[in-house]
Amino acid sequence: MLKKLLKYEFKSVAKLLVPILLGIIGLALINAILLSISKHYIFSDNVAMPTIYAIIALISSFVMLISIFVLYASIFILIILILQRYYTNFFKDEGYLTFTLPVEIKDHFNAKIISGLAWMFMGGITISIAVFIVALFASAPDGYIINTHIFDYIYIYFLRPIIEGVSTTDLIIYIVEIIVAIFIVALGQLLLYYLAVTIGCIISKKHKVLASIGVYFGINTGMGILTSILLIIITTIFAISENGYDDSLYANNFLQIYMLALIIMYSIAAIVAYINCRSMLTKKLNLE
Amino acid sequence: MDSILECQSLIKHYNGFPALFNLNLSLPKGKIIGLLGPNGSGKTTFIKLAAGLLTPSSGVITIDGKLPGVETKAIVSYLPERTYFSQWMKVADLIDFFADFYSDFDRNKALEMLQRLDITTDRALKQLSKGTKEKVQLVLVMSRKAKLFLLDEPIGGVDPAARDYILDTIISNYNEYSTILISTHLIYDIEKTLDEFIFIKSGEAFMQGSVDAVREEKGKTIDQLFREVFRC
Repeated sequence: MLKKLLKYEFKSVAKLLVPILLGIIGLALINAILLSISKHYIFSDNVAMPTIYAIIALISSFVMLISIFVLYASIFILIILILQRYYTNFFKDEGYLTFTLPVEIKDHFNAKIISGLAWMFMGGITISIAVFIVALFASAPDGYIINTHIFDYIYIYFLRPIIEGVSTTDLIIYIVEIIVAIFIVALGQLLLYYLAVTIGCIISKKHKVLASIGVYFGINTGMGILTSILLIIITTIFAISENGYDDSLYANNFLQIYMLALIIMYSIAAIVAYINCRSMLTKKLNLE
Repeated sequence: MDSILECQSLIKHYNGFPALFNLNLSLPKGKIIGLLGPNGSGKTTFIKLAAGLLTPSSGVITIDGKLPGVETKAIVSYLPERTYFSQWMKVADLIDFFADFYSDFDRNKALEMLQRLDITTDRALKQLSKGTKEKVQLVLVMSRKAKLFLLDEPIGGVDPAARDYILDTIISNYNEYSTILISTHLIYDIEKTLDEFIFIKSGEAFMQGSVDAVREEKGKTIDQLFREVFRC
């Protein structure tokens, strides 16, 4: 049954999200093209360059501004669409079909988690590709369309400072930890969103959306306080124990421990949210 | 077991107010039963409890001897009083959806009925009028070989011609192994379809019996009896 549910989950959200994700890539490409053309104007000392380049440079800056806004908005829209699907499919009129299907509540809920996570990651990947496309064109030296050395730059400026002085084994652990942290934090965050909607829709009869937002702010504040406490504890421990430390080693250890603490914290949050959501959907669901 | 649905001391509160109060019922198998009562009498609440959309405040409701759950949902075909399908779906998608989830769904029967109604399957639900959406819902719900059909106000918001179509559909899809429970307050239109009736008032079932018995013993139609019993 889970497979069948997932088929309709993806179909339903894809109708709205795929055009948005394609739009992000499209906008990145337009940006890249405009940047390539306007670079002739930007890099040129010749003030007598044709006006058309000046206009394109202006348009390019404008499109870039819009793109940054769209990028931020799309992250927000992505989350809203995932939650809207959860809300309408469970707590609005569609719920009358959802909950009269001969399917276990756990399958319904698991389908929402898998699909929500998949869309979050697809959104993340799309935004990364869009940023990469723009960076590829924007960082190209004058006379070149793209920057063929972009991977070297990524290595020099982003990866080398992290991996310098770290053994291969530590590096593998580090990478695994980053991947696990991203997955667990995304999963925990999604489950906390679902928990907020579930509580909001069950406690409120008339203002379900408003109640869900209120519950989410409550949960988010709690998580924020916990994260801050965690950060203070780890920083204090490091400050006490590390004397005459090596800078890069200190940073690496600090990051590793902080990520580990985040993984533990979000794992607990995810488990608590999962158990509560399932229990409420099973015992407290009332489609009035 | 002769009854398909039973409930004992069933109570349902909404925000402290009772919608159903101490309801005791037993629905026999193989009958078309009218759940009749004025607005706000608890008809929809009772049907939702049977469909597993509400949880009782207290008491027990069983379908074919089981509490509402996956097993009962597999044998219950439920038509709510509202349009409840995803608007983005095409009629063809909905047919696939029903075929995917309900093993007792008869695709050919659904297609035949839709064809008779001139409803093409390539149209999205959001393109259809409210009346057509309701017909699509009815067709899909009645295309199952369910043991229990729960139809909540199936003729509530439709014109008289559509009412006849809906009632014909219900009768033509009825078989001796199924029970059909129809909730409505439009008694006159539905009375000729019914085998049995249940009068429900303020969340309590206070009269249940055979339609023919009322006609023979009291010399009244159910509509006349209803008007008498529920006179304001």
